[in-house]
Amino acid sequence: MPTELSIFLSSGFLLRALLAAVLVGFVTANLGVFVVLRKMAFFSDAIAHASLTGIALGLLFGIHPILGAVAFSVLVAVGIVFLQKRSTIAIDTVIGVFSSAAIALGVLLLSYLPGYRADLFGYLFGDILAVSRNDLIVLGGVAVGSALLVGWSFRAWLGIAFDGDLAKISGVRVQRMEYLFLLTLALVVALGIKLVGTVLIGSLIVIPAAAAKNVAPNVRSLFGFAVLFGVSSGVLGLLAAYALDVAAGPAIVVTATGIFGLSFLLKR
Amino acid sequence: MNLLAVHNVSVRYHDRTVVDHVDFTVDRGDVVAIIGPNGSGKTTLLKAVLGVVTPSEGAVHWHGSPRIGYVPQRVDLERGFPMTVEELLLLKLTDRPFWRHDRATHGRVSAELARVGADKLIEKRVSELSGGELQRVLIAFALVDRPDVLCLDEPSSGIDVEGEETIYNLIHRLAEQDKLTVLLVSHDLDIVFKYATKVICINRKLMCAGVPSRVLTPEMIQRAYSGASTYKHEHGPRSSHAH
Repeated sequence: MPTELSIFLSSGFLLRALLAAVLVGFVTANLGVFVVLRKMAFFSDAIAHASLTGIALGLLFGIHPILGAVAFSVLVAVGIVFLQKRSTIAIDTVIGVFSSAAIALGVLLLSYLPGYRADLFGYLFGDILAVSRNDLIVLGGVAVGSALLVGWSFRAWLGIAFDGDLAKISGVRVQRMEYLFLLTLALVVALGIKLVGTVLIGSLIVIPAAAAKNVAPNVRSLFGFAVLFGVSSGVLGLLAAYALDVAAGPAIVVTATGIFGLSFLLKR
Repeated sequence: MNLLAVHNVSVRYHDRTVVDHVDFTVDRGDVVAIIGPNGSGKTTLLKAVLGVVTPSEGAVHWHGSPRIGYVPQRVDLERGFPMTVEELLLLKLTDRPFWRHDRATHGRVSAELARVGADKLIEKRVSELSGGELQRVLIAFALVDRPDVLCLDEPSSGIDVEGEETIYNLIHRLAEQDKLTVLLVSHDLDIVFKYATKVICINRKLMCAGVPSRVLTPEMIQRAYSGASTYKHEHGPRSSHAH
């Protein structure tokens, strides 16, 4: 095993994958805390599914697929919020419609792409071993940017998670902060696609934060635990995938689920 | 000059009129109770006054820019929301990050909680508080930035009868100490007669407004609550009675 580990660490693409797992684990866990506290797990899944359509549109129109993913995810997020506020349809129904439609539309659009696309499976379930140096720079930039954004918006988002009306009366610009949250969520989803794909990124946002909530005695430690679980899931999942020769994305999510199981047993 | 003037305010949700052309004024130092049967638009009217809901017609005018504290009827928290009482108050008390507050800030949080008799709850999670404890903490949260006006939506909901009396005594004491103007939504006429200097009775439309002992006649109450055959006064799981 030590020899295998040294081979792992000495190979450039595996090391880049490890760094990517740490970065994505850190960012998804931080934002995941707000997703879980605001009971938006299903919503973040819908945004993740919508990113598949965005990727397909990007590939069809020659735009960078990740840019397409961010743009379409934001569009779907705004669409869900708009319909929720302007209609009497229950929110879970609205999300369900958008989520299914986005996946279906994404697959339909992908079938219009000429020839065989080997990277499609990667968009669906992640292809962390294909992370390039440039990808890592973009990941690092988005990770730092979203971490700063979470730090800046922390009080407002926490206040809104506690009670939206109270936050508004206390001077928080709730609507503006809501849209900023959706934009950040779409960015983080796009960031995680390379790691676990559009199908599983929702889980990577929700599971570490949910596990942290099981054991954290207060909000201060909640973020610490979430980041610890998010980064551990990424690193341990990647090592497990390497050792067992299985796909990295699903291995990371299964590891995160294992951590959640343990946290449930230790639940306060 | 009135502190608050509500002019002809209507609120509609999806073509349903919830508040229909309501007018009233509030003077500085008033303790105003907004009453009415269930579904009469009391909470919506309070939210329109607070600026949380935008009136579809009419306008709300505050004289000057009074600081407003608000205590909601309930907070819909995710189960196991790990925020402690101290962390909730820190949201308003300091701009420093949560993980960098010092002993002095801890002392300030403790003092704020002591004002409402909740200092022992400082380390407790908000999601683990009983109805009465949560109301006290929410009142402390509302008072942190020393508001001029305190608005409360059914402050006794989810509290037993003894607890209800204590909560209203607390509000009454704080209002006198801090010279607060109070707007509270209530369903309990006993409380209105005991504490309110003014009552606004609505059933979508304004039914009456004025000094409770003058305007709340048996005929008026009958008229305001027509359609609501019993005037249910709901408490927490331990008690329930009807007026």
